[in-house]
Amino acid sequence: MSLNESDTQTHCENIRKCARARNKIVILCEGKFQHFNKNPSPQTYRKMEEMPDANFYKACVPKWWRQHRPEFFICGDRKDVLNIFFTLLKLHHQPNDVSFLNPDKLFAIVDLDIQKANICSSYNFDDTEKIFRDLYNELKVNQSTSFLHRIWVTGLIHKEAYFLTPDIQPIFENHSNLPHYNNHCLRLEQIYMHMIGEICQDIDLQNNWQSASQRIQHCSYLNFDEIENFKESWNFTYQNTGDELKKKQMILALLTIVKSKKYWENVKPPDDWTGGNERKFREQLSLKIGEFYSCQSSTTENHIPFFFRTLYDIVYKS
Amino acid sequence: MYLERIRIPSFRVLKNIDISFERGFFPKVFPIGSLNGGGKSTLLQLIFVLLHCSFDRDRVDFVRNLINTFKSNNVNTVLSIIDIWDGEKEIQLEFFYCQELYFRSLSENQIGLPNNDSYSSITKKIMVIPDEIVVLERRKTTIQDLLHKIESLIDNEKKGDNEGKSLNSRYITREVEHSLKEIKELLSLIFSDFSDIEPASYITKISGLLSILRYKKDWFSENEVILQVNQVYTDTLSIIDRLLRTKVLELETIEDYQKSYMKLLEDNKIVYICDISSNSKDDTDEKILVCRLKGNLDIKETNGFLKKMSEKVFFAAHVSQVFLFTLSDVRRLLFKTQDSKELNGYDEDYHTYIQKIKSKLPGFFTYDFLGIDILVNAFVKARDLDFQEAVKTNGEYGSNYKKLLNDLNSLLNNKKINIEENLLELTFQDIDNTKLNPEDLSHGELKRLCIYMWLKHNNIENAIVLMDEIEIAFHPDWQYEIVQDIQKWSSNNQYLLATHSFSICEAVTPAHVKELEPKLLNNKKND
Repeated sequence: MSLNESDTQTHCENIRKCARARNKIVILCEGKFQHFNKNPSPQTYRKMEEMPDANFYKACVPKWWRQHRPEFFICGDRKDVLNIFFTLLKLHHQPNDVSFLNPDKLFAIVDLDIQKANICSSYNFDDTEKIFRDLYNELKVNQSTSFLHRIWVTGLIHKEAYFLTPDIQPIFENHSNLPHYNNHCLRLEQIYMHMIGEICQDIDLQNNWQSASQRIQHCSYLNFDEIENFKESWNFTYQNTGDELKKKQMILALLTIVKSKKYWENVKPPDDWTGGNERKFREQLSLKIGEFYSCQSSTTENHIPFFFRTLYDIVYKS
Repeated sequence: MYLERIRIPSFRVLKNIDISFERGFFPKVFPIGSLNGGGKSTLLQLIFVLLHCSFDRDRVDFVRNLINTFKSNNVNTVLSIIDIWDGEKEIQLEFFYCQELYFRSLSENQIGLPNNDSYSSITKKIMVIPDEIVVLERRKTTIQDLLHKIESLIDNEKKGDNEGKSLNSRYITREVEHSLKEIKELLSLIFSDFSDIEPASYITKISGLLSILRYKKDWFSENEVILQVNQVYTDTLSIIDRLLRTKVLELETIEDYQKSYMKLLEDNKIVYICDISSNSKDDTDEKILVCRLKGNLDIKETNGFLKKMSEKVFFAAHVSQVFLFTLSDVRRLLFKTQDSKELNGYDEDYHTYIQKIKSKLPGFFTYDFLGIDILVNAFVKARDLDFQEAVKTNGEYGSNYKKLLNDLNSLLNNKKINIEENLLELTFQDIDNTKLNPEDLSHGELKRLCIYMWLKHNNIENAIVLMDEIEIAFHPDWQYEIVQDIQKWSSNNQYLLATHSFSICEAVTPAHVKELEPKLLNNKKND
């Protein structure tokens, strides 16, 4: 459920007056809205029921970025993030504005999701789908236009899709507590097979098939007519091709349109894990994955490192 | 080595503490938060001292110092229970106070245990008696020398007299008198150590002899006197030999008692740590700190495990911290002015003392401005390794020095480090090779370098690393990063970080963060 107007205003004021925002790049992101604590401490952090979603992005900040690292603010769901982004800009233009926030350093990142989210008319792009189309091309970030974007959408469907890309498999394999999926050691390929197997059951995707499939039209060897046909062509091509690059492209295409959260939530600790509930296990795993992205090079194929490189260049190099 | 759980019923501000550090968690970094004065530092120091110092005779004084900061500990109470995972099995260490009676209650028939001597007194005696034997033997030698001297003086005089070349009889008398007085003094000293021996007869004999020498001019020509001298000679040596035999026997008995005690403790997997100062003169009233081991650990493995564990516990804190394991007089120096210290005869300050005790505590580290010594030693070590390689390979120098330079420079932001040729001074340069002064360096950067060197130089691996307020001198960005840094530098350690920093916590999950919660107060008590 989205924030009401009053909560939005309060949260904006909290961000504007938060000393953390001073001289920093501020990135608004999605995440379960938690009470904004003006005096953060280990005790307040410990009391959080869940790890803030922003901690994943924070863990992804590249290793080379050592000074003036960006600050993340959780703003609720995607609609809230967008609302808060524009409300903050509006407040900045009010007379007698007093704030630590510099609008030139304000950014937002939201999930692509299946359905588009509309964006305030004052922005260059009408909705998240249009941002996606401008920002990404054939699963790579469009370097030439990336500098124009203050609101970023993920190149894959959700933040969680980045936990399930083929590059992550070695992290699971080398982990001291081998993650499990469906009572077996996690093999991401099994998840991809489940994703494609269950793709027709997603009503949301069926209803938005036209726009969703547009995102992956570069996989011209697949059939996009109907979701069923897509499923068949994906399965057939995947089983019959020996080209690993093509397989990876198909997987990423899948992760661009299939909701990944529920699959991620089926990733569980091994039976002998002594660390408590499985959510804690996934939270810890997500930090490990974040660390992986923090070491990745900022090429256009690597969405997250490229996102940070672009923000850094916009603010500190322009 | 991994600390899984710690329980502390009551120690200083710590009350009913029960914290688990889940073994399955990753990273193995656990921030510990509390209010100021909430006991974070006390907790780390207690863990460090109990695990690092309890099982090493040279370090056990630090345990005693720490324990004595909390006077109200009762007998038969638990100080702390610590669960350790050594990589293969779980071992529980229960530290508790007890009295002599507890030891005796462990044995049904008490065979081999002394009737009166407590374990503490035996332990003390074991340390004291060998020294007493050495002193006694030394005194015996001195007395023997003196008696030989007397003997030869008399012999020479007799011989000289026969040959008509008599020595000055006053000189001889004075020398003999002097030697006898020395013997008398030494005997008095010896007898004062042995309350069960009646010294009067020996001393009286010497005194009598001395008065004869004083009043009889030609005493050495009288057989009666010579006989008395010989008697003193025989008596003195025989009593010393008797005393020596008594001491050796006592030592053997005490050693047997100790063996019996040791066996009893070993059988019950109990390790004696130290006695705790009490006002009572009765040994049996003395409080003793012991540790009981529980878990799948063979008796033969116990010592090996404890030794290994104590070498795998490290503690880092700011030098400005009050260290509870120092002597109370030394801690009080912090409240004294320089004038007061001089007045009371202290020639060193708190910080000098802290530097001094580091040689006894290899696991202890303070984040000084810069660990110059550690860095210089690292350079010297790298140079030596390169040279060793050159010797082995007929001239091919190794790359240790170069690697160390690269490592350190990668930690510094646009700065370079090196060492002067005399190996006594470090140099820092910026990227344009301009020499930098200490004020040109960032404190945080140097602290980071310092922690890196501490972990690397000491090969701190697979260890329990306790770090107090690691965030000081770091910007929040670096506070977050230092959590990742320490994992990268030594990934298989467990880190317990006492902290006030939210940024440090953000690098891990909320479940990683442990809290020493404030305890509810009984207001009625305060009324």
